[in-house]
Amino acid sequence: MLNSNNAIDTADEIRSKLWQVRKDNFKRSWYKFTGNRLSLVGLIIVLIVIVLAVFAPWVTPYPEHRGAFVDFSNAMQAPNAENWLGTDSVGRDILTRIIFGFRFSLIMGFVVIGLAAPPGIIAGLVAGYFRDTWVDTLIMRITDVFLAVPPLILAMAITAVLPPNVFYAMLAVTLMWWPWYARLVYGIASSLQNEFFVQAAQITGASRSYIIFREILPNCVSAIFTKMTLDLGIVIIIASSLSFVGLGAQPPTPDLGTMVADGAKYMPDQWWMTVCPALAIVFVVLGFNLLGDGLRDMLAVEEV
Amino acid sequence: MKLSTFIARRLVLSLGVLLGLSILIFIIARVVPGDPVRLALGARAPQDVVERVSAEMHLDKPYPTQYVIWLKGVIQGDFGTSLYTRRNVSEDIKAFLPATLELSLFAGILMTFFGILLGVLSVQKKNSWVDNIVRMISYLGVVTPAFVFAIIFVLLFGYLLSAFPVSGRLAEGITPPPVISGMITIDSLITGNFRAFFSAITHLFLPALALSMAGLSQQARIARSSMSDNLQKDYILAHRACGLSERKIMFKYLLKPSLIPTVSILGLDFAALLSNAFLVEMVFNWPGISRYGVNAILTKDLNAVAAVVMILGITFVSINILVDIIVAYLDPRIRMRRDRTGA
Repeated sequence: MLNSNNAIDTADEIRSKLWQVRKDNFKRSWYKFTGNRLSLVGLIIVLIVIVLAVFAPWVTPYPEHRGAFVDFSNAMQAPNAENWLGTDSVGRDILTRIIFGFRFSLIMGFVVIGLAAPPGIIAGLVAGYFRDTWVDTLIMRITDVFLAVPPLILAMAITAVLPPNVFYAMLAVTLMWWPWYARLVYGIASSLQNEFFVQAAQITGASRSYIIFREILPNCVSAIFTKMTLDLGIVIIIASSLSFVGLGAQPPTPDLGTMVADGAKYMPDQWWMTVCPALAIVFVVLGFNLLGDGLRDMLAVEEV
Repeated sequence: MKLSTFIARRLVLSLGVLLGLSILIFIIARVVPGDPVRLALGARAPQDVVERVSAEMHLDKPYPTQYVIWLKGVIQGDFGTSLYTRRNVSEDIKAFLPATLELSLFAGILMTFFGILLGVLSVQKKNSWVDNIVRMISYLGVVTPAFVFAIIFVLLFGYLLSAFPVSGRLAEGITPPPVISGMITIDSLITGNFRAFFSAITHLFLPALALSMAGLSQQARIARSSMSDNLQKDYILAHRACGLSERKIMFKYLLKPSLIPTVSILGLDFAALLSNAFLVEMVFNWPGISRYGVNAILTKDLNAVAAVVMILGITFVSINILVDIIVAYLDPRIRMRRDRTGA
């Protein structure tokens, strides 16, 4: 009796109600997201690329062509029935190498964002929470220094002192990426500092780390998430640019930027060798961008 | 805050940023790699040679002393000698920088002009096919790396249509004008050499267009959205009620306030131009600082790398100061705000 007509619910009921609310929220968000068809296109592109990349050894026609493989009798074939996108200068199937290239691009993107976001977020939160103190000044001035050089150039300079390979390329891009997250989170965190819920937490004696991570951080999540999606595309562009210049992945790694650079030597007659991987880059980045824009609209994020 | 105070404040902050940048570059180029002389001379060079070269270049002193010596040089425009060619790095940069600046400036002009033009067009014909095409272009511009644009333009306009030359700065057989600014278009204009000027412009067009595409689309996007925002405002309604023509409203009253956001991201766009110049120069065989920089990176010529990054950093910071001042002039509200969280 007591249970049915007032607010005291059992834990199970609360849980099921919470579940219901979450389901409704999700439905509403999904409705908003699918309202823009382009966002859906982005999601589909991203899913296609992820599936292809994960199952690359099974879905590609010639998985052995991913690495150092030579078949000169089939070199420089224009797109045909056996090799849909043609073959490269040593006879490897370009479609196969593009799909394996997706793998590298995605790993690069996920690793860089995964490594760069946490320190950037923490720096931004701390600087925002201690606004107008020396901590704020110190952290934000350091990010200013990093932001004072065009990112690609700083990444190149860092690869200069390290051996040119994929691992160090990732490290270089990571080192220049965290300040963007610091700045984004700082903007939100410093504006929340005078909100009542933060003051309430302070009055109840919550610790600093509780306030920073449990009160302020959740308010930054949708902005961070949206930026991550958009950034995946940009990191893929930067990574392929580094390999295009010769500072990233080295042959025979199937990397899209390296493939474009190799193929460019055979312009204009064997145009497919450079155009196909180039369009593949555009395809991936377009997917992440459309998806990111959709998320931004859905979550109503303004800062990113 | 008065405009002069704003400018002074901005300059002081930028000096701090440049000082920090010099420390960062010094750490990257000198501290991280260990012994740069050993790196340059190879593992088999005799110890006494390594020591002599180290002493010549002050590399045997502790890091803080090295930093001060290096910074003194940088302030006087001396970036030391290359560990490989033994030539003065500043001389090399003087030879290569103008080509890159010419390319970036021309790209910057294309970017601003066509970006704003496309933005205006798409607002004027909102939701028509013009608008849709502009939106498509601006989307593709954001997701396409500069080197992909470069390659596609080379194939399309260079080889397929044979409309533009695809490599170098001048056609063969044309004597370059005497070096005044180092930018061939300007030098040939000054000396009245119109044949060279024409040739230089045609060589410049494709790489500059490829370079400008990313910024151009961003400008178009922002111009479109800020103009359509302002179009909703009351003052436009008031102008319409007074019977002003749409054209007059568009160009006299709508365009100017709507340009503030596009101007304020110009600085960031210019950063993109400077770094994408590396990629575009590779495709078009453009003899600029980028090729020099990439070579320096590949051969681990650290003095040259430090110089290139520092020069580009200084260029970028100066452009940002300029942009901030223009924006503060256009929009007094910016001066009042604390500039930290702003763009």
